Amino acid sequence: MAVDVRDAAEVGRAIYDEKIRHKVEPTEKGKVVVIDIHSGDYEIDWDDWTATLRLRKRRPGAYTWAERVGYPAVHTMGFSFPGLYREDD
Amino acid sequence: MIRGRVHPLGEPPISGEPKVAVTVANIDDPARTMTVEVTVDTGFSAHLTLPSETIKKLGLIYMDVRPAMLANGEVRAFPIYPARVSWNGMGRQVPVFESESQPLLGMALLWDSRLTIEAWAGGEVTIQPAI
Repeated sequence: MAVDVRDAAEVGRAIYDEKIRHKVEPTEKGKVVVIDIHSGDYEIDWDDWTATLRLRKRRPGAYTWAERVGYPAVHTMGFSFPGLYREDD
Repeated sequence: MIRGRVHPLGEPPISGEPKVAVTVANIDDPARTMTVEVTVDTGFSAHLTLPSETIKKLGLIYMDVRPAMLANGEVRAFPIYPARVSWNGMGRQVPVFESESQPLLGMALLWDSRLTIEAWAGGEVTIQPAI
């Protein structure tokens, strides 16, 4: 699983950098590009999940990565103290 | 309406977090369901995070990978798993991010809802449809 995740990130970033970035950066800043890393096909939307569902409808076997145009990540996630979570809390 | 409570200071997870219970189910096998206490986190832009152990118990199927920036600036790739969440009387299909922190409920799931928080120990947290 861990290797798979790293591979997807690497391949997805390469497809975005080489084939998509120059087309979307001038006009789509802030939108999310969801990329099928098998076919290179992609969808753009303000919302990650909306674009994902649209792409998967067209390509049911898609395995996707995403980029937010002009930003370092698609999502933000808070930072929490590690090790404090227990399922019975 | 979804109701929860603000966790008291001083008890793990220590920081007075607003918490609600949400029921998450396996899309293909709806009998596999769990009610999980989650922290309402408006700084989390996606829908929901769950730890790997909970994802395993629900039998969720790994789907895709998404990058998220943490508060310290680090960008990490997170595995995501589609699941069904009971939300104000409706079932919603959402991506669950695998993260070992306490489960988080983020802005994408809250979207089009009204969130209220009484920010004191034991204060009420409510989430209801805004439209």
